[in-house]
Amino acid sequence: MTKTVLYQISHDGILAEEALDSAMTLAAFGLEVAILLQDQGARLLTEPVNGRLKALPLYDIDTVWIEASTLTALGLKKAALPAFVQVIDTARLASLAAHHDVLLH
Amino acid sequence: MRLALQLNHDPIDTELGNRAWQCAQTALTEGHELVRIFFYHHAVSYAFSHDPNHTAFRPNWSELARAHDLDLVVCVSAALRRGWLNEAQLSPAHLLPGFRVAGLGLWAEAVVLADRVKVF
Repeated sequence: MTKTVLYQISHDGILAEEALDSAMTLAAFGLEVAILLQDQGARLLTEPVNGRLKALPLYDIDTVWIEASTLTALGLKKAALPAFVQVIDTARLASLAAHHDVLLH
Repeated sequence: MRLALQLNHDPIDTELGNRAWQCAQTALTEGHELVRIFFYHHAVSYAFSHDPNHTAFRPNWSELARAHDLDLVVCVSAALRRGWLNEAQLSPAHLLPGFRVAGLGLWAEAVVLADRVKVF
């Protein structure tokens, strides 16, 4: 059975870029990877690296979550998010984590 | 049980460093297998020699690897970004014993092989 990974990205800059590198590599090795953007990690949606986020489906990473409180804190609008990004309430994070075999950050 | 550990923190975070070290030691003591310990993000600097004045409180991963035949892998791209390596010399003299330089593929392989994954 394919192992599922939830990759939490909560920093921006080089740490976020490296997290994307890692997530893409895990996916290339056949793991089923979803990404959760929190705090400063959500800046990936606003920076030039956003182009790399758009490439995630090429790696079969089709699920990108953003925490609702992060969306509010960064002043991002749900309607402006790429179609593959879904908003998740903080109260549902534990349930989301429980549905994955491996949690990385 | 097979465990894979990833260290991400800056070694100046001695609390996280000690927790990772204790996790590895406890796992070995209890008979678990450490598939691989992967040093990523700021933790790549664990793999290189430093000013001796700042190493006194660092976990000695090289010694643990020697004693238990562990696979310590430092991420090549993260080390290049931080200036610990250059492309002309990927196994430099200041690479500490027991470490090897490799890519993220080895981390992915460890995640596939391990029963549990822990990040520090």
